[in-house]
Amino acid sequence: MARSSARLDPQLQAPARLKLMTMMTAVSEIEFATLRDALEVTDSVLSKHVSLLASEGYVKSRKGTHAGRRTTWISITAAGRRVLSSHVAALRQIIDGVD
Amino acid sequence: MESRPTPDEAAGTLDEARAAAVRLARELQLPSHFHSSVGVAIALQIGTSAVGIAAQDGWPAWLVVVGLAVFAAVAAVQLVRFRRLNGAWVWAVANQVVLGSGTAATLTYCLAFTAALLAAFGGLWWLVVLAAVAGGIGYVRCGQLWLRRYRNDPVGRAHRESTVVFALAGLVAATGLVLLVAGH
Repeated sequence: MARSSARLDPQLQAPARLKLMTMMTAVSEIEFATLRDALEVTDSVLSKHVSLLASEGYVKSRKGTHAGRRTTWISITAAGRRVLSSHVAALRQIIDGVD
Repeated sequence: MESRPTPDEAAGTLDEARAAAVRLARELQLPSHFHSSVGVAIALQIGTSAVGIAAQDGWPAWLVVVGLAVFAAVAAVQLVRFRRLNGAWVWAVANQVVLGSGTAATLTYCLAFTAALLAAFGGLWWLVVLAAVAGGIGYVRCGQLWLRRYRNDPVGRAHRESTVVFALAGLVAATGLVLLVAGH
């Protein structure tokens, strides 16, 4: 990846949000409770992360059903994917000692 | 935490995030009889299509439709079960494992279908069955191999598609079909 595209994103500096975004790239869409269990956080903590990332346009959520109950399905956006890629590239530059 | 992380912090954060994605991918389960049902449906589709196309008219021609309908039904049911079981949806699983859009699965299918079709035109019914069964087994095996790679590298695999290869293989198969039917 080109150095110019590498940029640390302030929202992804929190390890939990970086983890959440990386997990979102492994699936196309994930149900709220499944993501909560995978991240091992509470409903309120996940809600805050998702709300913040959604307000930045990095993820989107929609109401749906799962196993017969109403729930929220979350997916990463194209913008979120680009920001994550750039953030990961910046972290790799730091690891490699590139200024 | 908005300051620039140290190299150790950056490495730790990245490793943790990637490990979480791998864990998530490995926890995704397949519904019961997932691979076997897809394999049987593909074998059935190859066999019925070959026989139906070779027959060209009369009731055997409807076998083409029956085979496609059975495969579509099996694919739909298994994908709905996958989503319900996991609380997650992965387009790449649908494309690569069920619809066989991976290069190996596409080529396996095309080879098996061509062999079955040639056998059907030649009236070699035992060879039609053999080609269809081999195609079903090969198709499933390709899906299993892709799933293994996905579980080891979900971030790199979840959105990698080979639609160009899929389209090209389809074009080749369609052209072959037209030529075979025209020659018949």
